[in-house]
Amino acid sequence: MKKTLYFLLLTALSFGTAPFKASASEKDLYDFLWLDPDKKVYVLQNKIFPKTGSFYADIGYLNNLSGEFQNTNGGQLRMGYFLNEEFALELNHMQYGNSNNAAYESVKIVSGTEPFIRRSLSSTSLFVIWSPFYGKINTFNKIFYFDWYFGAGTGSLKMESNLESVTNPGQPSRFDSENYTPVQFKSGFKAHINRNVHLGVEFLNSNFQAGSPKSPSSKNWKQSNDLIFSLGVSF
Amino acid sequence: MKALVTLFIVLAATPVFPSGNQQKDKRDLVYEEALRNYKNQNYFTALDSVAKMYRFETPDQNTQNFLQKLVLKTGTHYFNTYSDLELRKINIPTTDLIMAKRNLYLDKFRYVHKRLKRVPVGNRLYPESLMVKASAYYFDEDYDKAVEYFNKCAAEANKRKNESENKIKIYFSVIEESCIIDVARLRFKQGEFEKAIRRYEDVPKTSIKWPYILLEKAWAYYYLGNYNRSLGLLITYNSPLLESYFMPEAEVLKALNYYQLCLYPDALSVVNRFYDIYKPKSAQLKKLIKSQNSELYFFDLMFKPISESEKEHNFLRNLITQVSKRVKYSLDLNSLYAVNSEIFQNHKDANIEKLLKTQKDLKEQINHYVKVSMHKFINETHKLSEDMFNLKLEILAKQRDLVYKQESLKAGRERGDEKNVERKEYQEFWTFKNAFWADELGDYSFGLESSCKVNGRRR
Repeated sequence: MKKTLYFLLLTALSFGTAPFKASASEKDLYDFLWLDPDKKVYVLQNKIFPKTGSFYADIGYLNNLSGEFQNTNGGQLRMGYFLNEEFALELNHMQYGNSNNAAYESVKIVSGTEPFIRRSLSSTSLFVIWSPFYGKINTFNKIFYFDWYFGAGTGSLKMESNLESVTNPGQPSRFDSENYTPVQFKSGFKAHINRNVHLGVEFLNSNFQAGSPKSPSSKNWKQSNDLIFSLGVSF
Repeated sequence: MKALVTLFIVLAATPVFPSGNQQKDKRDLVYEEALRNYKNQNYFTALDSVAKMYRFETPDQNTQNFLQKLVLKTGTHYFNTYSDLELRKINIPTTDLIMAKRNLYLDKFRYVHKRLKRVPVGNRLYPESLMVKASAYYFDEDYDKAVEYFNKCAAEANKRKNESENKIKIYFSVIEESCIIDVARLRFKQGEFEKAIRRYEDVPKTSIKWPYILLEKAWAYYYLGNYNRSLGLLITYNSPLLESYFMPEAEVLKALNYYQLCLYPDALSVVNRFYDIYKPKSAQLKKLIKSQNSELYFFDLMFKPISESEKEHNFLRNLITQVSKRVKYSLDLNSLYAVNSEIFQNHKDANIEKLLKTQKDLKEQINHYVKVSMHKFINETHKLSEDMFNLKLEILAKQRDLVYKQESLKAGRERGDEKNVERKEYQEFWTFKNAFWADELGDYSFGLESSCKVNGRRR
């Protein structure tokens, strides 16, 4: 069941490798009569990559998916420790770099004013990681193992916005820094290259309460989403 | 009288024993000739001349190193006929190891350790020497030391394996796996079945030894009372991938597992299959083997095309495959190939007479080994059929009204439930849904419910 789920998810995420099962040309092997057809058979396999008591550290490239008028990317550094096979504590730091995108330039030319922009500067958080799923795909005649995990955490999210100058048209454009305590969720895959090295892809969702040009004084929930590709080590 | 005096003078002038210088000159000549032979790939010829020269005296360091190089090419077969005294004179790690092994078989453990002390850490044979040392402790019932040295052996072999290539890499892999398996066996002997299983699991599935340890692991699970897992491991032998590794003992263990789960129809089905398939086939094989008169019948058998050996007896093909994957057979065969290539090379300096004799010896040795292996199989089947008979009586006593026939298999994998599968924290669990993954071979478990309790009473 888990394996099937992984196939679908991995295909959907287009990892660039087409999962397929071992060739079924040897009829005898694949008719499974040798596995006592009247009995249910279960597979109990030792984990190739046990997690309990292991440390990991990843370095990643991130791309922010939420800024309409900004190209935002940056780097991620995260370190964690698995308390048991399923749960880990993780420290996550992300540093962002921003630049105006084509949409920003177009709006500025058409309307003559600067659009409202809120952009991330950095984020440091502590996560609880739950990694209950483990899967594998057979591709290029080699089996690759994956972990699928979820995380929830909070910390500090530093952002900046031009809220003040956008809501007061008389003022020159100005970005003020903002500090939030976000509620963050994430989910990701870790593909094990070998016992110590893995590749990761992660989706991180940060929720924070902030004002908007419509109602600058009232705080509503806002979101910022990041997609992160990483390379990590564990030992 | 004059003639006598002349003879006396001549005899007096001719030394009975060559002087030190003459001896040295002769040694140098032999060494140079052997070196030439080595360069011309006449390894056996070179080994013969040098080893003969130093049969009763210790060679210098340079010659010792040269002998080591030669033995790498020829194998140790050449020294089989040497006495301990002669081997001690040669004084190289190879001969020390041979002597240590001899002493091990004679239970002279003190001499085993004495000889092995002489194998330096840097020598290629060091991991193997640790294995022999550990075995000596094991036979001497010093189990803690045995485990310590088996583990050292595995670690050393692993280190060297990662630094080597090709044949040497395979050699170190075999040593490493042997030491790991020995630790597991020791734990098994001590009744520490969990520890034994964990150590067995360190042997990769790609190892030539893996199919054999599957049975040992299944026994460990049996003694732990995890009959479903034991049955799951044993079912692996039915896989077409392990067709050659048919083991009558696995059938006995299967029947025992079903018996312990009080699944008597299943146990009887296994017993009956054993009597229907294994026993008659083993009897046929015995007849076939005994009818052969050719001196090298078993040797020739190993080189017959599969289609032909299969025609003679379908067990033959499987046994041939099993034997051909054993370490002892591979070592002897490698030596034989080395001798053959030296004979076919037909170099003018090659000692053809010696080569032909070595070839004959090796063929006989292989023939004997294959013969013993096949007879062992037949005898084992015979012995196990007695165990099966006793088990059958036990089962029948438990369930007198059992119908004496094999039950037809129900379709749809109905029997079993995952609640009966014992899972450890370090294991992943999947249900098998007709998706074969080769890496899962040997990782199966049944989920059969024990029928031992009926209305709260043991049946």
